[in-house]
Amino acid sequence: MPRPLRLAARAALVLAGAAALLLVVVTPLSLRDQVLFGAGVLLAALALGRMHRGRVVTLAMVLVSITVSTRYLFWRFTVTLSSEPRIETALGIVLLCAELYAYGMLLLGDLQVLQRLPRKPAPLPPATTHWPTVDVFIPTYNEPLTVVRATVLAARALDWPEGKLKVFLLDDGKRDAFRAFAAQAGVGYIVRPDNRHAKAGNLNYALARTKGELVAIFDCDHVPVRSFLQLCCGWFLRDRKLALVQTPHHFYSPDPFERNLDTFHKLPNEGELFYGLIQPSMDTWNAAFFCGSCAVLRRTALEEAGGIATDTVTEDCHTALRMQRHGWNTAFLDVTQAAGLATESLSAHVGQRIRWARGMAQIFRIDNPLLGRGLTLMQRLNYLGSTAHFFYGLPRLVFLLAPICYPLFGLHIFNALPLMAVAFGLPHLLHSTMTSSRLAGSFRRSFWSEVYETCLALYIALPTTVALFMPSKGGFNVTAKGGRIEQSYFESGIARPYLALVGLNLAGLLAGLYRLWSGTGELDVLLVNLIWCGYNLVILAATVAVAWEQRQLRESPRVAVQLPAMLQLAHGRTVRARSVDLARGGAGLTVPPQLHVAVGERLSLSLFGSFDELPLPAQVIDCHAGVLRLRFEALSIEEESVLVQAIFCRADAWVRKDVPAPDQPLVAFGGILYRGFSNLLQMLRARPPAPKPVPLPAPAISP
Amino acid sequence: VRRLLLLACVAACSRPPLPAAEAPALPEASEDGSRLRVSLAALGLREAQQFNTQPTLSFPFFARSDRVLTAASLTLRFADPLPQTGIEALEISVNQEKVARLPASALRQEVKIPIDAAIIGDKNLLTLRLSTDREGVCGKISPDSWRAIESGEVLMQSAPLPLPDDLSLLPLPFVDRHFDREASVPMVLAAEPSPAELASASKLAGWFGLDTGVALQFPVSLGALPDRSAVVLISSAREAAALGLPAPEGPLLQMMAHPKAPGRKLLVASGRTPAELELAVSALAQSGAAAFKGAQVRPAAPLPPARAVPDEAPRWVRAGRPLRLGQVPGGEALIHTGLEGGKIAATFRLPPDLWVWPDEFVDLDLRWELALPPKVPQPRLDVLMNGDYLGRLRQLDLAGGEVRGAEKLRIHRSKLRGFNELVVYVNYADAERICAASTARVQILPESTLRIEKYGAFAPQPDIESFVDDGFPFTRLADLSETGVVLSAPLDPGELGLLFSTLAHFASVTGVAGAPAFVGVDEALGGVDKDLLIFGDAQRNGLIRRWGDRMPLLPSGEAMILQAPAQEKAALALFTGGRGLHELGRARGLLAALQKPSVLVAFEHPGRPGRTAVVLSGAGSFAQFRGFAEGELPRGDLLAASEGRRMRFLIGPVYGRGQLSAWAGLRWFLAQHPLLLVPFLFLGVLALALVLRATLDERVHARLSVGGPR
Repeated sequence: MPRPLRLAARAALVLAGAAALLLVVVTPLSLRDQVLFGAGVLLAALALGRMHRGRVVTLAMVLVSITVSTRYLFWRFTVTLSSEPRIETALGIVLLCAELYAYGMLLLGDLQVLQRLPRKPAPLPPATTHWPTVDVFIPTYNEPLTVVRATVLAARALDWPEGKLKVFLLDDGKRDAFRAFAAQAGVGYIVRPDNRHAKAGNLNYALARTKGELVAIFDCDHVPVRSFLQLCCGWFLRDRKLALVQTPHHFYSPDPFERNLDTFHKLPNEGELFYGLIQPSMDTWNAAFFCGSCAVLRRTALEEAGGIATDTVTEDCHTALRMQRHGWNTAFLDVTQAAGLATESLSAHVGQRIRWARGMAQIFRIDNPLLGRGLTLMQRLNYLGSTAHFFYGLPRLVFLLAPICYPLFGLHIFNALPLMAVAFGLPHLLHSTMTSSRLAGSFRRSFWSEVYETCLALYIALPTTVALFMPSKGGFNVTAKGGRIEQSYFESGIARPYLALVGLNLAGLLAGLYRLWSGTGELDVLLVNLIWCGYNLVILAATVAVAWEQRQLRESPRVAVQLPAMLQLAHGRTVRARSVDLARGGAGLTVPPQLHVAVGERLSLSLFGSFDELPLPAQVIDCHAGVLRLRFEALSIEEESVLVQAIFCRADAWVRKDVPAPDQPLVAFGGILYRGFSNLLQMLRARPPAPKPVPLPAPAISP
Repeated sequence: VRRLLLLACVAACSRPPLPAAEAPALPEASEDGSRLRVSLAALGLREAQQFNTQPTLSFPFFARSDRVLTAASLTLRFADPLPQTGIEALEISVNQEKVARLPASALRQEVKIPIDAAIIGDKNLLTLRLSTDREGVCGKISPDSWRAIESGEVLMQSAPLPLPDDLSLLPLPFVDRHFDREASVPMVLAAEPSPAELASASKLAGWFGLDTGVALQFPVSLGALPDRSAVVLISSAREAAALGLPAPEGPLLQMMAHPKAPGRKLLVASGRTPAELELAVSALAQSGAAAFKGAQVRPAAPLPPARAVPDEAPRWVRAGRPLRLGQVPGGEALIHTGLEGGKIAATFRLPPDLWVWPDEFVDLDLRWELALPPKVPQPRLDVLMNGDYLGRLRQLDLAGGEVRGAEKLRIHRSKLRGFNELVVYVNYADAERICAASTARVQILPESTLRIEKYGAFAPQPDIESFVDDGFPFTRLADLSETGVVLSAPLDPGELGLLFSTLAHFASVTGVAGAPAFVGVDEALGGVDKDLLIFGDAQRNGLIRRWGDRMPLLPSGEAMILQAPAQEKAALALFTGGRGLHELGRARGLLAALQKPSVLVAFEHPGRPGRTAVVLSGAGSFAQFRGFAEGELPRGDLLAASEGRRMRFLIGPVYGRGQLSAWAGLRWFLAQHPLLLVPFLFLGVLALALVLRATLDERVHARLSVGGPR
């Protein structure tokens, strides 16, 4: 079809479709008719979704969800607003604002994930002389050397032509042991006279003292695989305006949610939605952004943008935004090429998220993506979605408190008949849940966002609000990594506000039940609020359950690695084996069942892969039923490098082979219900020890 | 539910609506008229008792103007035991003449007090004064004291009062405006009245309706005089002779003694031709009886009536501009004085097709003024529109003597009808403890405005409620020039009575005594481009037989056939969500319980889209259809009335009356067919999804190509 004709046909379809949807949004219906309409749309959407998994159906369901939600909002604005000067009116407006925010985020969220870009690594030219020079930066501040060693050794082993790769350890901690290790490992070591602007300042200082065409940046716990540069750098040669290639952040240890709710490797973790869906989808609109680590940047682009941004505490995203304002492109490569340690405790996790939230709010305030030059509309909307997302704290608190207003205080904050509110609101909630499940169910199970966001809501509400009005307030905090939790304990410091919210919702629930029993309330209002309170309690129970910190004894978690291996026993005999899991401190292997070795026996282990073979001295700690467990003895730096390469640096080390099961919203909700309440029961039975003071996030460094 | 709760709160918190002294009530009369009974409850005893701290209660009451009293008495029933508020005595006066003083010991359960009939006139005032030994400030008494009286009534024996033959006394002897709540106006027509004579009779019935404002019955005699006072219409000498009356010599209105019933009167409207009869009737309808003096007038040709304008009537507020309360009757003086609780009420009629949709609410900019003596706390002011609680007015800063407030209130569109009453309840807390040197005053200011200026004229049809209350759509043109009437053949006096009472009601709504464009029995009249009133049933009216399949209920003799009406666009009914079927089932279940119901059936004129046809079947007056009707939906196309019970259903298709823009019309159409929104939604979504997918595919391709777009 000729292009003008095609465009005309599309315009006609858009006009007709938009007019139809507009009519659906603005047509007022009575309660009965709205119920019929809602049921009809729901059944049709369910049938459509079951019949076909194609993209057109997915897009149609997104549009249905948006239309139904818009219809709800239209009704809210045209019918339910009251102008009476009463406390209920004020509270009602607060609730409406929260709903409006949620609606805005629904639109932006849907827009962000409409289309993943199936970007594949671009091949490099055969002649390595054409390959660019790369500087690898590993900034560190207060992390232990044990954490940093693996990253440095892995960076040193990256597959890149000799002479074109330089690794630098950027030590803001100015520690002698680090200097010595850098010298031993043969990598550059850079310290600066001050610590201004924290990580951003550290990187900028290094940038000024290096000159590689490309710069790869890794957080000091993110260990790259050997193919990292080969997979990432091809796009820089193909697109001369490309400033950034970002890859996913993968964690081989469980985060607090996974550990405390027992979902590690069972459910998608918190980051999978972002790296699995949002970033690849934002890449479609040239809006993927830098995440601080596991990325390659073009030096010229960085220099043109003024280096790493120092105005905010999320320097990564802000740097990407600035580069894009200067006309540079960004890319996201959805191939996991590095892995790191997840936050070790809930308090550390909360601290990290506070920084993210504050930083994004700072960007929203001082460099708002909707304003200024240099961005396309879709880039603006994508960045807006990313920055505005972190304002969810206050709205979520509103949703957690709204249903107690009537049972406890008799306040009607929703100026409409409850059944009408249900008739309009329920389709909005159901369709957004269904659509979200269809779009993102593989990356995040339904309702889990509620748990993640509820857990952080109270803590980010204030920083984001402060950042809106005083964007320069607040400093950078470094996320603690590589620690252990010796004993399970209840993180009461974090959980206390949520226990208060549980108490309030429980009080609302009980007050509502009492009103029902005594006949002193309006039945329909009570039922709606009771169900809402009940839902809040389920989410809050899971949130509180996360604060029941499960013990974690291994400093260096074991990674499942299956490699051919050979054991050389003390008396010289060699035995074929196969690794089951490897860790920096030891290994698990399958050996012939008939092999008997004594506990404590010394041996050496050779692992065979795409790295140099070097026997690693070890000691037997268990041998049973064909499974041998070893503890490594003191390793030389070369031996350690081999071990690091075996564990972390294989090109396929983090390739996911399993296909996630499809999301089932009701099952997911049941899972939250089960995990939340079973954890709470476990806590009550265990009579946890007195709350143990846990180090809060590391002290802030003034930027 | 919330509003009901608020309303209950207001009812519990507010003072009595008004002392009965300011609210003359309509009493009841026995059938033969010789015994008149006026209950204190009808005079507002209950409201007056609530929270009243004044020692005096006054109740105005009326006696009939066409009867002379022969004896009277007051019966009071008291609470047992009496409230412990120190009651010493109750003093009773009529027209300021002391009738009795009852000491506390005499306040037994029932006391009958004779009243000298000589002191009772047409307009009277009954005054009760309680004296107690615990009088408070300014002589106030405990608010519980008045609960001593449980009930009471004034009984009057009367004899007919011979009236002069004077047209200016009309509507006497048929209706006493002050006394009657309902009345009967016998009508005499020729044995075979012509359509023109029927039209004149319709206009005359309308005049009675607009002049009296009460529910009227019109017992009709064809070709014979009844033995009581009656209205006689004569359009030829032959008709006059048949009735034994003098032959007309031209257009004439005459009040005369009934030739066969002593003491009774005949109002004769006559002419030698139907045109002269019409001239005589029109003279009365245009000028009113007050313009005439003496026993007879020979009216000259009246001025040609002004051409009626849609949605405009003398008793309706004009749409298309803001409604200032100062424009409604009594709107300049919406005042409450004194420290007793009470209410301020404004009533007005809006065009029944005022189209507020899709807006949910109409704004009311309410402005009020308080003038309170020093140290008098502000009253609580609660506002209701047609019984729907709108809100409580805020407290004002009482820095000076008089302060004004303004507040915007919202009235849900469903609460605005043709007839509307805005009420502000005034309630002073602890009024019995307040004694002020001057009088407190609360005024709803005339500049208070109902913001109806942006709303046009459109009405979903059929709407049996609007038909019963406001005569819509027939009253859309107040002179009924867009109304046609098709009667059964042969003519039935009962049907004619129902027709006349219907038209009398329409005239009371609009303030215009109009005559339908035609009144006839010819089935062919169904083809005329008018809204139709059709009387009778399928056995006697050919038009009903012909259009029977369009009606949700077909009256046929004793049978009432409920059915799903045939529709030209039957497929559309599928998208209403089974509303009609549900209502049909409900009707089948409920109508069986009614004994010989009278029914109203409304449906779209089969040959004239947008026009309405209403079938009225049954005996009696139109008043039987008025009042609360049980229904699940706000509108209806079927109303059944029997033994004081009314039921409403909406079984058939809905259509609109009036003009909407294409956009608004489409929205309204979809609102009537909610399930159509589902395919609308999915077709729209599919169109957009296809474009979106193509656009996204192109975007992906471009992003992955060398030198692709940003």
